Amino acid sequence: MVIEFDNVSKFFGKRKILDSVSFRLEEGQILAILGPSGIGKTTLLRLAAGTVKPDSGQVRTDKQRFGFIFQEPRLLPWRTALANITLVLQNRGLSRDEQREIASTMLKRLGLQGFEQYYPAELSGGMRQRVSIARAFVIDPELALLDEPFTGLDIGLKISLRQMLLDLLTWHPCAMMYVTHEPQDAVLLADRAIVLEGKPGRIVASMDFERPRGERDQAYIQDQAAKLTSVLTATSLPVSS
Amino acid sequence: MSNFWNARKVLPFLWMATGVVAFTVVWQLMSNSYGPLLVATPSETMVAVTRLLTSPATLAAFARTLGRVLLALGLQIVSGVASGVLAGLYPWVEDLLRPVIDALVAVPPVALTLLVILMFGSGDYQVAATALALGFPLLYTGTVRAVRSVDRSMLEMFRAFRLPRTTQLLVGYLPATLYALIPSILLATGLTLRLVVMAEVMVGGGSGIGQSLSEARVHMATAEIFAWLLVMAATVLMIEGTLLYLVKSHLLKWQARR
Amino acid sequence: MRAFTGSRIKPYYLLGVVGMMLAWEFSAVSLPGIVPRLAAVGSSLLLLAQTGELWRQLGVSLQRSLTGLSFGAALGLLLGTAAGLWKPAYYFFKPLMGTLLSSPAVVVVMLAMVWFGVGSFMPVFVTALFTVPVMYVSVVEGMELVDAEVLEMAAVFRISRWALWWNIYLPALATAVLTGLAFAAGTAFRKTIMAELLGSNDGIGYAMAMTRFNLDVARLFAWVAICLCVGVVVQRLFVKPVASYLRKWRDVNSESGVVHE
Repeated sequence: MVIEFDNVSKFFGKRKILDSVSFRLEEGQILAILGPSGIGKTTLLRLAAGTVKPDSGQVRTDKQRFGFIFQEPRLLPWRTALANITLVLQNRGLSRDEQREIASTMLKRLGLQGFEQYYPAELSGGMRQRVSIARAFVIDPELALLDEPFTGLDIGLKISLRQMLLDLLTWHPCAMMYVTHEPQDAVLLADRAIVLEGKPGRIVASMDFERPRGERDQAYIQDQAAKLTSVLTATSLPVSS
Repeated sequence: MSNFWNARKVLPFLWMATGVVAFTVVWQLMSNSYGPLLVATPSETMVAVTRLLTSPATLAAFARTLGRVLLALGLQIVSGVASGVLAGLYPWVEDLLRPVIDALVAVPPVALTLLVILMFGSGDYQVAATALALGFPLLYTGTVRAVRSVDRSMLEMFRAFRLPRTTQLLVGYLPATLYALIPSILLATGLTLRLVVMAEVMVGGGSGIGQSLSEARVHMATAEIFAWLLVMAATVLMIEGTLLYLVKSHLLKWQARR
Repeated sequence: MRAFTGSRIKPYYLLGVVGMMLAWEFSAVSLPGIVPRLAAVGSSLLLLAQTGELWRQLGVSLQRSLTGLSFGAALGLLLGTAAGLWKPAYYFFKPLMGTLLSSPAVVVVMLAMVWFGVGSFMPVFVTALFTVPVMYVSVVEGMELVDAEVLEMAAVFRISRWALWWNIYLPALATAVLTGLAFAAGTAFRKTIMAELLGSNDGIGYAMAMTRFNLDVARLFAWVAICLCVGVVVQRLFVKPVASYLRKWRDVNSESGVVHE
């Protein structure tokens, strides 16, 4: 077991935003989280990472290394791409050279060789997000947390980054929670999808993709994505009316 | 293409030079019509500038003033940053200090200087204390804003990756605050020099540039006054330029290269 | 607690004011003959008000500030508009404005004393001279907002020259003038006081200088309190509202008034 949410509720001030959310994530499992914006999907990731605490219920995990990929790259502007990555390698008993070595290998893997000494301001949006992905995976995470990392990028970039993420998972297999609003994304990456809905948000649907990731063909993906879309539209109809 | 860039770089300087020449001509005409006693000619002023920069007595006065400026500036930065960080992190501290800041901002600097002189006499520390009190609000408010400007999302990143608090302070807060504080420090430098000179003039019989100025006025030596004006403007420009250069070449590489 | 945070005056602000008063009284008691008691300052203030001295000198100083402010603002607006519309003019004036902004006012006061002697014209001249760069900078910055992109948009939509002025340049100018006036108001009063203090025969500054010869610290504090009132009124009434309005859509620092001695 990687992480378990047990009846977790969360308030922002007086407003309840998450209501008794329960699920369990096993080793190597990838969970997609879908739902309308403002439903508390990001809060779910924060609860998992431990940066916020639940108001009731429990988040159980014995993991230490969480690789967070935020919606925006969140790089320190005054550090180079390489220095942004070595930053998270501190306190691991590594020498400076080892840190640099590991960080630049990771950058290479994401197609950023030659850009180690560039500052974030000098990189394109897609490159910055790749640095952010490298930062999350360089710590060899036990749980990767992705918060709509490809929103705002154009479709071509989105596809290539998604492929990069899949490749990365073969190098660094780990459990993952992936927040997205695109059913396609969910079917491509995840083993299971949960749908959050309502005010406060609770899990209204859950869907397992049984076929292994490597064997999902175009037809399967379209079929499952369509199912997921129908779940999403069905649940969101009462809210929008 | 390269011609275009050159023109864009050179033309501003040409226009600035034209401005300097034009004002020098106007200045010369003024001194022609009012007489060199009231308005010293540009050439007389230049002679006075070299005299100021070569005579040991005036150089000593200059050094004395700069010493006071540095003392006051250092104290401003230390006290302003210390209290500004507290006020930035805890809003109640800001509320508590607000009346003091409001008073210091609203009081005419001459009035405060006079108060200090009347109550505590005149001397090095009094001059520096006046400049400290009057320059303090600038650095304080600058720091408060700098601390507030530290991104919450950046802090979340530090927490999510389980980075220690010292790293957060040194790698996150410190560069962010310093960067946001640079404009305030630059403004404070010029302000402090002007405040110190003002205090020196008002103390009377003191020392430093202010004293030289007072003497020049008594002797109606306008060339000397003009010369001090130019020297002080050049000093402020040089200090600001050096600071900016240091900052740009070291701290702000990430921004300048953009 | 909750009830307080909703109100306009915050409890810790009041605490700060009370703390300042207490610190004053404490230092007055521990340094007798140096720091006057609050009560002594109060009675000085009362005396100034009763004899009419307060209103007379305040009137003189305010009138000089306003005269200097109007002339300086007019000139600053003129030069600023020229510099905003035509880049070469901006560079042309740059050395002059730079020198003016970095010159200690006290030196200019000395020069003005040599030129104009002691009287009403000298403070007005100094005030006007130092209002020019404040207004100038404000106008240039305001006009910079009318950038190439806005002008391109205007060209694409075939907006006439007249409409361009009426809808784009004038609003930008009006805001800039308002900002410049608000920021210059505080500066103007300071410069007037300084000029009067160093060389005039009436006005608040002169009255302050006289307390130095009479060693009347309580009266000096009374005058400082009056200046403080004027300063606070200017800050609260003009600078803060203008700054907070502008901050809605661009970066302004409300300490602009602080950088003038």
